[in-house]
Amino acid sequence: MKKKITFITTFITLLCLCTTAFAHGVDDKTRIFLMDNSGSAFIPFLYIGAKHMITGYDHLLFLVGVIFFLYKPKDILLYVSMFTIGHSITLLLGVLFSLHVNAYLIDAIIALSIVYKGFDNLGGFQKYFKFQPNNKIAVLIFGLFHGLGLATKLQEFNFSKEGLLTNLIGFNIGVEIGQFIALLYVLIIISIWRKYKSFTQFSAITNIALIIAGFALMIFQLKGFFNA
Amino acid sequence: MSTNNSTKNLSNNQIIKLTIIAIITTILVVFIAYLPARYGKDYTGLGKKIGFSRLYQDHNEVDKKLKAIQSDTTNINH
Repeated sequence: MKKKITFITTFITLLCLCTTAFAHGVDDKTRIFLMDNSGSAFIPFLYIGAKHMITGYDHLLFLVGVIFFLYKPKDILLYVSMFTIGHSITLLLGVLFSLHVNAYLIDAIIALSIVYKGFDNLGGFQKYFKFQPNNKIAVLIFGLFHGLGLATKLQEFNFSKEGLLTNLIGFNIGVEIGQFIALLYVLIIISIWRKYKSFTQFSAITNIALIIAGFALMIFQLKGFFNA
Repeated sequence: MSTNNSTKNLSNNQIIKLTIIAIITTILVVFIAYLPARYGKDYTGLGKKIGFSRLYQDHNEVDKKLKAIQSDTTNINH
């Protein structure tokens, strides 16, 4: 059993470390499109937003942590909405007012949000600090940082200011669509898993893996920040 | 485990409904958005109508543009 647990933890950690280099990667075709485009392009930006969310696994890991112990669809909707409100605010304001924050630092905070959620799911706050943070507020605050991360990435492309608002709204709606599709699969997998004993046995391991993945991503981003 | 309250999992019916929704959504996304935008293959004709095909660029064209950008950057650095 111990061997199995060690194997799974090591596998997940290595997987995260191996793919770290590709976090938030924007492929060449998208890059060329963003640089060439002028004027409003609602649908293409919607597509780019959705794609960014589906492939942006740091956002997804955080959301996995958020919904891991949520059983009621109403609660899932509430928490995901808090996250959506948070990242929509900073994504729109960040790009419209050209807020520049170091991309590595923002990504390190996003990684920290994964650590936070894993630690919280393990009951760490109650056990070690004897208090429980308001999770809805925490998700909203981390949502603000995730949005700032998206805004920072978008601004790197220096694309045309013509039709900016339309494009940003398209991108934001795309992010929501991507999030919806990804969460749908995560929810199905977790819901099926909950029917088996292994969910209880491995829930702690999964959240420890979330913490390890979060720390690994954070170290990678901080390394980038100090080497930049 | 902190966050949560009721431990009632989704019923089998709800999971089946969610799976059907997920599969239909994925098929629609792949055929209407992904294939036209990524590979220029618009089997339904909706990719062009809706605008996803605007994202498609030929591989050679992308390579040329990338080379142009790289040489611009090199010139600036020199």
